[in-house]
Amino acid sequence: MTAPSLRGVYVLIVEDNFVVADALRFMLTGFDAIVSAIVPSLAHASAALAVDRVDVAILDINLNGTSVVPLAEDLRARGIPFVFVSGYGDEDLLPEHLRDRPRFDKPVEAERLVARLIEIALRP
Amino acid sequence: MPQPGTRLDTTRGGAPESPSESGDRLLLERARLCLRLIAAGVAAVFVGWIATHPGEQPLISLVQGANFLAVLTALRFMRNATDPMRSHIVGFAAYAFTIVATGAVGILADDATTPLLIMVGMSVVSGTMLGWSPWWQLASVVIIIATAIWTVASVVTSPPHFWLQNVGSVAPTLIATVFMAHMLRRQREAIERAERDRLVREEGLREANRRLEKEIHEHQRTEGRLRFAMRELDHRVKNTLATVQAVADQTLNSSTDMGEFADAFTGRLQAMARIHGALAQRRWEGLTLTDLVELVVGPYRHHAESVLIACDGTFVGSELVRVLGMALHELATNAAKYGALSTAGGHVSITSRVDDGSAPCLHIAWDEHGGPAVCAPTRRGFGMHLIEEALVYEADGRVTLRFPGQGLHCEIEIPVPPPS
Repeated sequence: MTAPSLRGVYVLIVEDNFVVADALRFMLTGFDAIVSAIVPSLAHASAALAVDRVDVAILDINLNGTSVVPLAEDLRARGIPFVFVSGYGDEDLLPEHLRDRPRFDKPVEAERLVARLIEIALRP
Repeated sequence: MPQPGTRLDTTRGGAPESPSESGDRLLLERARLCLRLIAAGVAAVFVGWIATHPGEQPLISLVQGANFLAVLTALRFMRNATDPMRSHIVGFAAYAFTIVATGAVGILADDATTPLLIMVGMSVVSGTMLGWSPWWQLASVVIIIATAIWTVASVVTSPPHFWLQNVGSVAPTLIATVFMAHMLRRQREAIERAERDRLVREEGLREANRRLEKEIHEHQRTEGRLRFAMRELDHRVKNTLATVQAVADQTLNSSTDMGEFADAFTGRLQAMARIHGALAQRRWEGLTLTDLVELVVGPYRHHAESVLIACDGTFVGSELVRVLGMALHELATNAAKYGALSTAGGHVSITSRVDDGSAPCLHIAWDEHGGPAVCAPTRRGFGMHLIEEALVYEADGRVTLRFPGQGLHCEIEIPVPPPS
């Protein structure tokens, strides 16, 4: 059995806490992913989407008090898959039609997250 | 109504009597005594009259006797004022019987005016029971007095055996009528009083209900706030745990052995804990820059001059405190390991100013002097990475690191958000 790999997958990380975002980047890089960017806000995310390739996105639901939902809608419209990461209670910020998207509680378990990213990003 | 479990006296309900109730009782006693005296006198005269005139008008005597008995019985039953319904029924029965009896006496004695007048009087008096206006009550009193005067007049002008019959017929009826009217008025007043009391009680209950609803509302609001605070706390804990895990991961990634990891990780965790504690004490509103620098860098002070803090009272919000605190902690540990704070003679000065230009900006300068000669590091560990990147990432700041010979110089610029 081969080790799980995200080889060739471009990941955008939207997370307001630098240390958390940086650790996530390090972890994903360890699984061969290419991290397009780590961004702390909706504006930075839009700028990154405009110039970088993004195959899958990891979205912190609550960005320092701002909901990530507008970005999620944008990604949905572009057909880019994404998963949510949340602290307790953040899922209330999500509208009904986004609640069936994959969601991971903080602190995130790396193996589960990677397995899910492989599943949705490398789906034939 | 007798209450269960309450010991009753023989009068009413055990409650203290009001003045109007004791007035009623006195009137009742007097009316009853009066009626008894008249009844006894008239009965004695009847017996004598029937004995001396046996075949003259025996039927009238019989009807009068029955009338007496009816009124006496009615009064007997009406004594129980706690049962207004029974008093009403008995009173009406007595009225009906008296009216019929008086009418019969009038017809038998060839005198239609006396019973007619009595009947009018009684029907008017009975009207008081229906809650008619006070004018009707006044009219009934006037008619009763007129009846009494007419009776006295007829007694004076009539033959002896006839006025005896009239007195026998009229007197008990009059007394019963007045008594009945009085009782009914009292009952109506009692009903009205009870209605007023009920309204007052209802208003009291409504008021209590309003107060209760208000309290419940307050309680729900408090509970809501508490639930919100608990969620907020849980949220914070989850985020803190995520940060701790990230710090542990990154510290591990940049450590060469477990000893180095343990030192670095413990230092970072303790800095986070101190910052958390200070923020919690100030209800998560924030800290002044001076307090924050003292909190994070203060523990590395060898002696009074080794750490010089010249920051103003600029207030730093809790989110910025977290990341700025971590950056300052990395600067301090770096100084303690390799820089000015690693020797007894070295010192660090931290100064700050706020530029009030078109884009207000907080400047913090970190200057090390007197330590070992420094040069730019060849390997950038997690600490240096955090100093250079975290404030740029989270606060749109700018961080400049220089390594002149006398010691590290770090310049931090953070845009001050316009007051919201």
